[in-house]
Amino acid sequence: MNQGKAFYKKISHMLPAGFLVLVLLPLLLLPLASVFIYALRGGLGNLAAALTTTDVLFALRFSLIIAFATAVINTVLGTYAAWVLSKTRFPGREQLGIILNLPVAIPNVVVGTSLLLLWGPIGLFGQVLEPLGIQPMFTPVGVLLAHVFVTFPYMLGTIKPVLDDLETTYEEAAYTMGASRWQTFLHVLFPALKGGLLTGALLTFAHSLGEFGATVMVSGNLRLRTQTAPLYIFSQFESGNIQAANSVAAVLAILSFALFSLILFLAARTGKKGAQRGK
Amino acid sequence: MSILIDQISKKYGDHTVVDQVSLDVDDGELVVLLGSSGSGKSTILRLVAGLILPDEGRIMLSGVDITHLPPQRRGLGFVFQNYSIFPNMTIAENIEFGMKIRKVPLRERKARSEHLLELVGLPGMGSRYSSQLSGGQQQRVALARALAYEPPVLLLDEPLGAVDTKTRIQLRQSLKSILKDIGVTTMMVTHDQQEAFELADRVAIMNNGQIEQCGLPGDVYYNPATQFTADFVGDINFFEGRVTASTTEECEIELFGHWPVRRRGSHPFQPGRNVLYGVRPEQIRVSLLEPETYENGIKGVIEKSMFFGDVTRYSIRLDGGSVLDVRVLNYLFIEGMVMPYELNEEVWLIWSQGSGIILADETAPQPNGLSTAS
Repeated sequence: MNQGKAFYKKISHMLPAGFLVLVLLPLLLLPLASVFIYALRGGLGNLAAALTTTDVLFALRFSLIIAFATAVINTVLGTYAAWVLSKTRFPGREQLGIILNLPVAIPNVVVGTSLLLLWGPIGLFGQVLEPLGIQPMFTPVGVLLAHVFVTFPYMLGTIKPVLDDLETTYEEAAYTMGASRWQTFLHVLFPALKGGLLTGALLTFAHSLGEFGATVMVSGNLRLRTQTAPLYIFSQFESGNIQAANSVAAVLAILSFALFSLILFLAARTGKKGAQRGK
Repeated sequence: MSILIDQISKKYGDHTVVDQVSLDVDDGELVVLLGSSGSGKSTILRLVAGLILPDEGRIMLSGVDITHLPPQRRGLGFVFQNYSIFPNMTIAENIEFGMKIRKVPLRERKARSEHLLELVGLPGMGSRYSSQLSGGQQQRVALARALAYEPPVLLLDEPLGAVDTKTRIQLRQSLKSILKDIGVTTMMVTHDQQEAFELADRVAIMNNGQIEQCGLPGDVYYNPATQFTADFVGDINFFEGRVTASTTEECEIELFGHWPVRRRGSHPFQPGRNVLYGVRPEQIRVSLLEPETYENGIKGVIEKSMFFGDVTRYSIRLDGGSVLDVRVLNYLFIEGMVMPYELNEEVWLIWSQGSGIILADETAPQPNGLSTAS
């Protein structure tokens, strides 16, 4: 009787973890695994051949450049916005914080559409710019604009809580010791933000790398001009070229996995460092 | 360097935090702003530091108007309540920060930081981080950091507020000796009366954004100008009374309509004036014997006794119905000098006619034609 009870207890303890491993994990991993299985179906030679075509090399390089530029731009813009929202006081500050986070709530396709409506040839700004020979839509600039827009809240969301937690008296202490605002930022705030900046930049980079909805609207999906890696995958699927699509999908999956591992590693290291200093 | 605060006010919305405050601090003097939380004392310190700007009034540093100078250009030392030691820098880097901003050569910075660490009793700890130090050690680092660039004025905002009682007492003594050695003009904020009395050359009592009284610790304690000050610094028993006689040598007051007490010295109250009469618990002795003619005395019954280690506090119900607190040093019982008192025992409360505080009772109706000045 007692043995039965103990067994029942053991099972009931393991049930939540068992459900996670046996049901949810396969749900998440199987699609990912299928990408690799299909990518490798024709052998490594075919995979290598699929990855070295001009179109694929352009799409991957273009995606990496756009992701890098987006991360750099949003590191500056996001940090600035976080600093303004966290360290200055003005009426409507909270409302502004909500508005700046809107890109997370709006579907990316809608973002793409709205950018087209604004900057496109018949858009509000586009109409003015076109006679001057400037047309950002369907160019790399348009893609960058869309990526900056949709990934903006990631940097803001990473940096603002760090700044919120950083007591104002640190800055005030620096001011009383004679430091200017810039010196205070450089010597006091920036070192405290370093970890957050790196995490936010990687997060922005990873999201930009995988961005599809807004990109497809603003880029025109022009091969060798504005086609990012996710757009290439989509195009190849549409034209029935599953092997090529899966090969690039596998590369994107590996890149994203590596990036998120790096983010997790950095987060763990920052925590460990803090704990060691605390000893 | 001297500080002159002239009629400064600061409002947040409709709430006046500092209300027309004036105060002067002489060169090398240590003035403590003592008050409860929300009394405006920290705001005054922040105004002097330039961390906030006043709505009215001006602040002068040795005759120079610094009211609108940014904190960076005032060059004052500030120790924050939470110390605010930069967590990304070592202790030595923290101390050297102000000197680095001032472009002091590296060798000089190092030498001064080592000297300051020795001064505050933390030699050899320069390579540590703030998280590796105790609260008391962090406080010392904050002090060393604020003194590093030799500021003309030091501002201390509850510098001992975040450490435990024992450490606080130790730090108080070392802080006093360091400040005395350096001789820097200092303004300090605290809510701790003992701390204020131990460290201050002068104490300014703050209430509702105003300075109620500013003076030597002894003056503030024994000659409080207001009931708030008398209440805030130490314990005091207050009774409503009426002046029955007043000469240049003494003032006679009637408590509860029938108990006469006397206070030596000249007082501005005319006979018939309603007043508050206060006496501190440690000034009263409990006795079974009647008072001498040169003493004040009231009869009462022991209602409650509480043991506090060094003293026993007796609550005694007086003939007039009020309850008065008295403290008796416990060693007197141990040495057999005084017999412990029983509950409900009838005793005399006796105090010198040289002690006692008389203040105008602004709440009581005054007889016609009497002065209301205190």
